[in-house]
Order: sequence, then C-alpha cells, then structure tokens
Amino acid sequence: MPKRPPLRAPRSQRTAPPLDRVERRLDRLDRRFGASGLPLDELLARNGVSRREFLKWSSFMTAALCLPPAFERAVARAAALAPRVPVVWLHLQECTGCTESALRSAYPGIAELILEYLSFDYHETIMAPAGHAAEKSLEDTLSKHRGEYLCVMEGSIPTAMDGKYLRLGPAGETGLSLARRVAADAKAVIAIGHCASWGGPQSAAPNPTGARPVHEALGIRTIRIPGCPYNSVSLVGTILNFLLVGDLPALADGRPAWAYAKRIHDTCPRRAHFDAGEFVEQWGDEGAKRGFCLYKMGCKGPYTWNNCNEMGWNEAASFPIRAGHGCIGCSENAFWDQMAPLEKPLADGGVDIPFVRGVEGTVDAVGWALVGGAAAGIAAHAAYSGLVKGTRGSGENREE
Amino acid sequence: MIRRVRRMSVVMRIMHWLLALSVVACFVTGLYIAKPGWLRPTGWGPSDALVMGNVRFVHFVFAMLLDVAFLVWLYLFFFSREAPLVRSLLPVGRRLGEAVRMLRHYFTLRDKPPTGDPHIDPLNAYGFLLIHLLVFVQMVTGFALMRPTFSHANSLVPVWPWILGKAEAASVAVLGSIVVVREVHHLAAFLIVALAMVHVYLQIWRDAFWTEGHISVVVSGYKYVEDEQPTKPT
Ligand code: HEM
Ligand code: SF4
Repeated sequence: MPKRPPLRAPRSQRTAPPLDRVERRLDRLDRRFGASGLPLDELLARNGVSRREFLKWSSFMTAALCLPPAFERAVARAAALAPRVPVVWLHLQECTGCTESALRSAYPGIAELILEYLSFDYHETIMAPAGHAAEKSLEDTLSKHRGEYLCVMEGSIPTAMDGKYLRLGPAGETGLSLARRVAADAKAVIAIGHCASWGGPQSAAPNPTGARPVHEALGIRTIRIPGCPYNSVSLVGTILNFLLVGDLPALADGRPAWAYAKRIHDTCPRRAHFDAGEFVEQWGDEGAKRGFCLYKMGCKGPYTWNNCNEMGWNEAASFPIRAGHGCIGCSENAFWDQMAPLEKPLADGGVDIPFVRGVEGTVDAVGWALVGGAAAGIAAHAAYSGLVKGTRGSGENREE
Repeated sequence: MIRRVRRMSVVMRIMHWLLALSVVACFVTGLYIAKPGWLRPTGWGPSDALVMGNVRFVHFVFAMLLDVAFLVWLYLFFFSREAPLVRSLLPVGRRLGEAVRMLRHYFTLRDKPPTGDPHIDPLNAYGFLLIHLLVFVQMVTGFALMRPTFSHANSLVPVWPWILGKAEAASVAVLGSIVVVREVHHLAAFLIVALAMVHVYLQIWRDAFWTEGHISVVVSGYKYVEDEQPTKPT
C-alpha cells in the first residue's frame, strides 16, 4: 500500500499559534478594553443564554477555527472581549441586508448577540446619534482609537465620477473619501458581504457607477467575508481570530480559509443524490419532495466555496440547498454576471457568441451549432466534389 | 509503379486510436455530466445507483488515457525518429505555400500537390496541431475542474493535488473564474468533435479521390502512391 500523507491544512494554518502567547495577548487586551462595553456574561444572561450553552458554542467556534481543544478557554475569553473592541461599520453602496440578517434573527444565537453588542462606535443603522452628532462620534473614534479599531465595510464603492454616486453624512462626503479616511487608521478592514468583497450586483455589467469592491477601490488588503448575506459565524470567527492572534487568518482567495476553503458541492447533504444521478427535474416534482440533487435546477454548489453546509443559517436551522433551492454562488467573484441564469445549469447558461456582438446563445446551443456547422460544411464539400468529379470525369483528379 | 510510403509509426498509430477512443468517450460522458438527462435510475426509494459517480469515473479514466496519448504525441511531435511533426510546421515559405496549394486543391480539385513525400502535408499538420492544442486546453481546464475532488487524502501520489492546483491557478488566471473554465471546457469539447469530424471526412475524401489508401495509413502505417514518372527518391 502506498503511504498517503494525511489531509493537511494550508501551510500557514498547519500549526496553531502558541497558546501562551495567545493568553498573554488576551491579558493585554483585557487591560486595555476590559472596562468598556457590556460584560458578555451579563449580556448572555439577559438574553437567556446559559453558561453551558456559551461553553458549547465556544468549543464549536474553536473547532470551526481549526484550533485544537486546548484553545477553548482562550476562545471563550476572546468572545468575552469581542463586544468591547471598537468597531467602525460603514454602509457604502449596499442594501443593508447583511446588517439586517445579523441583527434581525428571531432567536439570535451567540454569534448574533456578539455582533449585536459589538462596541459599534459608528454604525449608521443602529447608532443613536444622527446627523452631525453621528459624524462627531465617528471622528472621536477615529482619533481616540487610531490604529486599534476594526473597520467593517458593507457595500461596494462607486468610483465613477470621482465617487459622486455615493454621498454620506451631513457634509455629503463621498463614500470613496470616507472609506479611504476610515481605512487609513484601522487595525484591519473586513469587507462584509458580496458587495464589499467582490462588488455585488451593482458591479455587474455594464456597471454604470463604476462600483468596485473595497480592496480594489482603495487599493488595500481586506479580509473578505462574502455572501449575500454573509454568515454571522464567519464574521465573529474572524473577529475572534483577530483577538487571539492579532493578525489575519489564513486566507483562501482573500477569504478566511477556515470558512471558505470547502466547496458547497463537496459537503452538500444532497451530494449522494448527485452521485446517484437522481435530480430534481422541475420545481415541486417527486424528486424535489425526496430531496434529490438540484444540479439541473441550476445549483451552483459545484463552483462555490462557503461554509453554509456546516454552519447553516438562522441558528443552523437550514440553508438554501437544504430548504430546496439550488445554491446561487453568492460568495464567488462576479456571481451576478457569471452564475446567471441562477435556475439553469451552466450548459444552459448564456455565452456571447464569438465574433457576433450582442447576441447570446446558450453554451450548449453554441456547441451544437459548431458541430452542425462542421457537418453542413462536410456535406456541402462532399456534394461539390462529387459534382465536379462527375462533370470532369475520373481521370482528371489524378493529375499532378 | 505503385510504391509503399510509410507514414505512421506503430506508437503513433496506437496513440492515434487511443486519442480517438478517449475523445469519443470523454465527449459522451461529458455531455451527461453537463446535463444529466438520460440513464436516470428508476424508482424513487433508496437505491445503490451510482450513475453520475460512474459516468464521472469513466470520464476521468478516459481523460487520463487522453493525457497519456497527448503527452506521447507531444514527445513524438519533437523527437520522433521517423517524422517529427514539428518539421511539417516550420513556418517557412515553402511549407505555407504547400498548405495554401492543398487548400486550393480541396476547393478546385485541380493541381493536386505532390503527396509522395513521407512527411505529412502542412495543411493536415496544422489541423492536427489545432486538435492537440484543444486537447491540451481540455487537459488543463479538466484538471482545474478536478481540483476540489482530489486532495492529499484521496490521491495515490502526493504530486497529483499539486498538479491539479497548478492547473486551476493557471486556468483561473487566464479565464477569470472556475465558471468560465467550465464553459470553456464545454465549448472546447464541441470544437474538438467538430474538428475531428472534418478530419475524418478529409481522410475519407483523400482516400476516395486520390486513391492512395489514406485510410490505411492509420491502420498499417503505409499508403500507396502511384508514380507515373518516377519521382526522385525521397
Ligand atoms: C483531458 C483531460 C480531461 C479532464 C481531466 C477532464 C475533466 C473533466 C471534469 C473534472 C469535468 C467536470 C466534472 C464534474 O465536476 O462533475 C469535466 C466535464 C466535462 N468534460 Fe472533461 N475532461 C477532460 C477531457 C475532456 C474531453 C476530451 C472532452 C470532450 C471531447 C470533455 C468533455 C467534457 C464535457 C462536455 C464536460 C461537461 C462540462 C459542463 O459541465 O458543461 N472532457 N471534464
Ligand atoms: S444540490 Fe448542488 S451542491 Fe448539492 S450535490 Fe447537488 S449540485 Fe452539488
């Protein structure tokens, strides 16, 4: 038997950070931020979450972050610190769906609670001050926590016409300028949702506002947590990771590898039906009732990397594929342009016909047209040669 | 006088048929993978059907055979002792002229260029090159599509995931995303089949119109040329 190497994590993740260093770091953060914000215990108790549930959740997050069990205590400590770290959350060119999905859950899980009570020194949707007062609290945070605050950006940044498509705040500052200013002194910039990570629907062709993802518009490094909306577990995990090691997590395509390194198709609960060849053919048919694979209904799971299968949504109750609709690939670059039509397999997807502008065929139709064209050409040439040979007699073609 | 002209070595002929077989097998299985419309398992209950699994397995096995055929072809392309194809391709004036003459001959049926030469005529050679280029495209894009399926845990040789990773990185760098990679893999498949159809037709056409036994080239390795005035020995 050949010896197989074990399944290995990406190199940067292969070794856990030394636990003692992590603990020392947490001590330091405790001294710095321990007094501000709400104590997590109180927050959880107020929301009816028991200590036991919290510990279960900490070990879940420890495993999700690919850390060994010895880190559970550190993760719990980091979670307790999380609501105290200053966060500036910018709303750019977006629909606020990401914020809504995290804040509006009927039965918020611990991840959602932590997000809800993050020390949002600036978050347009939930902060109390408005207008110039809001502006002031932003300026205060920027100067008081220079280089320490985390910046979360939701939404893409329109860059056409010098960013004039997006004006924010009482002074009408452009999104481009505000984002640049806030990003400049942030400890790290987290791009939340598809728009901030990859540009979102507004950056789909023809992209009139020149919408660009944050890292492209500002030319900076971001941690991208794409999805439409993103999963709150992925954001909280990234923040915990930050508190634990003070650095970016291992990234896959700019996204935290622990959350985005697995393909939906490979961890899908319907995968056995894919391999069996059992597919939903039509919405509501017998196969749909039996939970068959949604590949022929346009599922984009084979081209999508995310943790929906493992983490689930709404307290891990479900996620689109389990609920009966195919994946639309919302965590992938340019999904709006490339994954459409969302309810058809790629073979029925549109492609521009080469050399003919503005006309679309399906991938399959273009393919068969190629083969048909070759067959027609062959038939024409055969008929032509037969004809010429018939009129010229058979001797002629042997001339050299 | 009828003269036998050797055109293809044994290895070349084996690789040719291996290529033909695997292209057909990959195309048919690929069509199923793209839009699994036939071979539906009967019944609704639990079963041990593995239709897609098996079709993908067959696709991958023939893909590997295709890769072997391609790589051997690539080697012979440069280093064949008998007739390296690369020689028919040098873009020298005479070669280009021959290709144009051959093309004109196909459409006028006059002025047949000399075909007694053991080397492949350039027009045919360009066609072979194009088909093999597309096979190379299929190989790289196919490897890219295979990448998520094979890891260190399920590969016999550790270099395999590395190769797949490189193929994925390269094709995504060129094409933009794995979705486009898959569309290109799909379209290139049809292009290969279309070119293969033209290729088969041309060989039959040559066989019928030149009566030099072109089809037997790929079976026995020889074709037969009738020299009315004996040409210079080549
Ligand atoms: C040379 C090596 C090749 C490799 C490694 C390869 C590999 C693959 C892989 C991994 C897939 C995706 C299957 C899945 O994810 O379930 C695929 C699909 C496909 N392959 Fe290949 N393949 C190769 C050659 C070919 C050839 C020669 C043809 C046809 C002439 C072909 C036609 C197709 C088609 C039509 C599909 C479906 C694409 C779609 O989803 O639209 N492949 N192949
Ligand atoms: S439902 Fe989608 S992700 Fe799941 S097995 Fe089918 S194609 Fe793959």
